[in-house]
Amino acid sequence: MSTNGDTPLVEMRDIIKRFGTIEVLRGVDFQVNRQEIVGLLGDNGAGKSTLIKILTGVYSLTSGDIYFEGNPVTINSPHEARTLGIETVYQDLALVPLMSIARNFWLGQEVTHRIGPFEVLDKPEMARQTRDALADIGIHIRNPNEPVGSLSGGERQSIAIGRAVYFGKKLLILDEPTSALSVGETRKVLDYTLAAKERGLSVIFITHNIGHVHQVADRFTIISHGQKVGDFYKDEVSELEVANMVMTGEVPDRLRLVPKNGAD
Amino acid sequence: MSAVSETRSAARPAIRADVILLVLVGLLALIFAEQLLSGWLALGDRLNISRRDYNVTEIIVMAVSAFWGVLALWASVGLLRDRGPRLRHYFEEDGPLPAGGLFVLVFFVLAGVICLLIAVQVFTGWLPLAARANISRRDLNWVEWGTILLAVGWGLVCLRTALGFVRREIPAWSWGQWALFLMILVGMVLTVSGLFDVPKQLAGRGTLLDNLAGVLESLAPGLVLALSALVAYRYVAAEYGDITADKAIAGTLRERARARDIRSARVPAAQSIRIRLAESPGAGAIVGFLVLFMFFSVATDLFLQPTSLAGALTNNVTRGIVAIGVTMLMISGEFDLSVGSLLGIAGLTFLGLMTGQFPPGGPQLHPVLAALLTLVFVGFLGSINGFILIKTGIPSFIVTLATLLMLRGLPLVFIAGGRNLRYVDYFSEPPLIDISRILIIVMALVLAVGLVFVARSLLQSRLANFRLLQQTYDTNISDFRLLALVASFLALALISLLVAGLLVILVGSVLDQINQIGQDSAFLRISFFDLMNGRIESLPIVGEIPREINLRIGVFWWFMLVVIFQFILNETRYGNATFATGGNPGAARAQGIHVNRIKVMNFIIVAVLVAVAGIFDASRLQSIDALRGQGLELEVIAATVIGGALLSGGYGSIIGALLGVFMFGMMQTGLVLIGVDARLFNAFIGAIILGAVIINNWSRSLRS
Repeated sequence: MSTNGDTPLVEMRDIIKRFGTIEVLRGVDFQVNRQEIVGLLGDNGAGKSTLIKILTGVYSLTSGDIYFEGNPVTINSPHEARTLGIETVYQDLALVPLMSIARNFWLGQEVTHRIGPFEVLDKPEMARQTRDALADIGIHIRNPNEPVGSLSGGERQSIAIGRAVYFGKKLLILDEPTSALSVGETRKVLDYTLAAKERGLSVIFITHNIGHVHQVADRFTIISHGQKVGDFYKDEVSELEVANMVMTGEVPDRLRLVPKNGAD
Repeated sequence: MSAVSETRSAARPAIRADVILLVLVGLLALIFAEQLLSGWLALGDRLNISRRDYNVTEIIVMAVSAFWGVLALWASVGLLRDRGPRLRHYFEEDGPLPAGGLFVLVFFVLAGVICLLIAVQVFTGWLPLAARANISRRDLNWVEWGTILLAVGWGLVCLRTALGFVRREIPAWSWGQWALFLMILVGMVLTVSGLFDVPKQLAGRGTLLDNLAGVLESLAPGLVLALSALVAYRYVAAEYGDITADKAIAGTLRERARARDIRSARVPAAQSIRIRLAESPGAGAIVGFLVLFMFFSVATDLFLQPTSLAGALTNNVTRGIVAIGVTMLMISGEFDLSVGSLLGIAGLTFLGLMTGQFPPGGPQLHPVLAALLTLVFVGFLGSINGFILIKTGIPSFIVTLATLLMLRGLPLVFIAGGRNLRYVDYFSEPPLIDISRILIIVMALVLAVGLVFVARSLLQSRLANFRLLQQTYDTNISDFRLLALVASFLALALISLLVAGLLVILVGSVLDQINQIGQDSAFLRISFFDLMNGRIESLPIVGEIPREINLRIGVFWWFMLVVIFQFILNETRYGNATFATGGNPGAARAQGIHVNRIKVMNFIIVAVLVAVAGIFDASRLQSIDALRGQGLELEVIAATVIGGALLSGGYGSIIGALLGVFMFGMMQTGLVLIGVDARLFNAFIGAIILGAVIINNWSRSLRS
C-alpha cells in the first residue's frame, strides 16, 4: 500500500473532448489521490460532467491519457469502469425503487447457494449481510426487505454509498448527491462520504453547492469553459473564494503562485 | 378528560361518519328484531306463522339483533359525547373503556359466540351445507368439515381478541384490525350474495314493497356485519397509528417486560401491510379472488361443484400458461401483443408438421419431434420481436402490434378458406407414442429427489421457527404466543403432509411401472395428445373421476410451470435481473446487468410458453383454425394486470397472474351459473380489471 500511496489513484492528462466541432474539454488535467475527497466544481456547461462521463466510460475521449493506479487504461464502457473499481452514484439511477434494500444491495452479484444443479438466492443471508454491512459504516436500516421506494432520497444515497464501500470499490463518484435533500439528510450523506474515505475509498464529489462540498472535500478542482481553473487544498481557500472562482473562472491574485499539483 | 380535550377534534375528524354508520347499524338491527317479533320473518323450521310460537333460533336471533341495535345506538351517543383519543388512554394508561371500545369488545364476543354456534349447528347436522341430501348427522361432507374448522378457529380468534381487549393487551389492538378487516369483507360478500336472493323472495309475490321482510332477511345479516365491522375497524385503527413503541415504553406501562413485548410482538400494522404488499404484488388479485370465490359460492350452489371448477380450470390452461410468460416480460418492462398470433402459429406448426400440411408437402413427423420443432420455431419468432425492439428502440407495443398483424397472415394463408386443419382428416389412429417405463421411473425419481431437496430446506426453516417458539414459550412474553405456536405447528404439519403425500404418489408410480415392466410391457403406449392435455380419468387418493368432470392434465402442467417460473422470478439471479431491468434500467446497467439480453430472453420465454400453450390447445381440440388465439393477447394482459403486474415494469408476480387467470375463469363459469347474460361477460371483466387495478394501486401507494 505504501508504495502505491505515492501514485495517484486516477490521473487524467490533457483530456480533450470534441463533439463535432465544439470543443467541450480543452486539455484538462485531473487527478484523484488515494483516500482523498475531491470536490469537482464548475458552472453548468463547464465540462465537469463530460469529464466524469469519460472517466466512467460513457463517452470516449478525443485525445488524452487516463492512468488508474499508475497504469494507463482505456475505459470504453461503464462496465469496464466498474470492473476497475469505479462506482458512480447518480441520484436517480442508483437503485431500483420497487425492489427491496437487500435485493438492490446485491444486484448483479447476488449471494447464492446451490441446490442440486440450481443456484438459488440466499435471501436470509443477503438480508443479514446487508444489515451488517450498512450498520458497519453507520447506516441503520429498519428492515432490509423494505422496498427502496419507501425510503427518503438521503437514505437511498446512503445505501448506494454503503454498497460501493462494501464491495471494495476504489473510487466513488457522487453526482449531485445532495441537491434534493433536506439539511439533516445532507448531513448524513456527507458523514457517509467521510466514512467511505475512512474505509480507503477516494471520492469525487460533483456539486453546485459549495457549502456542502466544503465540509468534506480535501481538495477542489474547479473547471470553467472546458479548462481547469486550478486545484486548491481546502485549507488554502475560503468558501467565498471558491464560489467566486466557480462563477468567474478567475483565480484571485493571492492564490496565483500556488503550484497546481502541490506535493504534500 | 380535560387533558385530552384539545386533541379531540384533531384526532378524530371523521367521527360524524362513524356515528351515522352506527345509527344505521342500530336501526337495521332493531328493525330486524321487530320484524321477527311481529312474526313477519320466520326462521328455522317454524311452519305456521302464528305470532306467538317463536322457536329457539328466532328467540336467539331476536335477542341478539335487539341487543345489537341498542348497543350500536348507545355507542353512537357515546361517540358523540366523548370523542377524544380514548382507546389509547384505555390501553396505555388504564383509562376507562370508551363507548366505541365497548362496541368493539362486544362485537368480538358476539362474533366468536356466533361462529361457535354455527360450528355446533353444522356439526349436529341442523345446518346442512353443499350437496348433502340426507340429514343424517354422521355423514358430514368436506364443505361442512371445512366450515366447522373455520368457524371454530375464527370463533376462538374472536374470543381471544376480546379477552385481549379486556386485559388491555396492545397486540389485541393490532390483531383486532386484521380480524375486523376480514369481517368487513365477509359482510360485504354476504350482502352482495343476499342481493341475489332478493329476486327469489319476490318471485310471484308482488313488488319489493310487499316483501320488505323478505328483502330484509336477505340483506340485513350481511349489512349489519359489514357495517358494524367497518365502524369497529375505523374506531380501532384511528388511534393506532398515533402510538409508537417508544412512546409506549416511555409511558406509564405496568411492566418493563410489557414494553419489550410491544416492541417485538407489535410490528405496526401499517408497516407490516406495507412490507407484505411489497412482497406480494397481487394484493388486488388476492382480495378479488377471495371475494369473487366467496360470492359465487354463496350466490349459486352450482359453482362449488367439481364439474364447474374443473371446467373453469381446463378452459384456462392456454391463458394461464401464456400469462406466465407475459408477466415475466412485463416485469422486465416490455410487453407482447403478438401472443395471439403466435398461439395460432404454434398450433398450426404442431399439427401441420404431424400431418405434413405445414410446410406444405413436408413429411409427416413424429409428434414429439413436431412438438420440439414447434417450440424452436415459435421461440425463434419471439426472439425476432426482441431483436427488433433492441435494434430499433421502437416501443414494444408498436413492434408487437406489427408482428401480431403480420404473423396472423401465416395461418390465414396456410389454412385457407375458413377450413379447419383437423388431425382426424389425415389419420385414423391417435398419435401413439411409446414411452420407456425406465424413463418414467427415472423422471419420477428425479422429481422425488427434487421434492426432497425443496422440502428439506422448507421444512428445516419451518421446524426451526416452531422449535424457537416452543423453546421460548415460557420466557416469551407475547400475548399471542399460543396462537403463534399453534399456527406454526399447523404450517409444519400441512407442509409435511403435502410432501409425504406427493412422495407416496411418486414412489407408488415407480413401483407401478416396475410392476408393469415385470409383466413384460417395457413401454407405455399413450396418445401424445393425451399426454399433453388429455382428460384425467383417475387420481391417486381421489380415485376414479366421473366422465362429466372435464379435468385435463394440462392443468397439472400449467401449475408446474407456475411453480417453476415463480421460483425463477423470486429465487434466482435471473429473476432479480428481470425485476431490475424493468424497475430501473439505468441502475440495472450500472450494476453490470445486460439489460437488452434480459429483454430478448424474456421475449423468447414468452414465445416458448405460447408454443407450449399452443401444443396443449391443439392436443385438446385436435384441430386448428386460422383465427385460433385471436383476442388472447388482451385477455392475457388483462389477467396479468389484475394479478398486479405494472405495465411500466419492475413489479408483478407469477402467482398474481395465476390468480388473475383464475378470476377470469371464475367469471366465465360463475356468471353463466348465476344467470347473467353471456353478452355482458366482457363488461364484467372490464369492471373487474378496473377494480383490481385500483386496489393494486392503492395498496402500492401504502408502501411509500
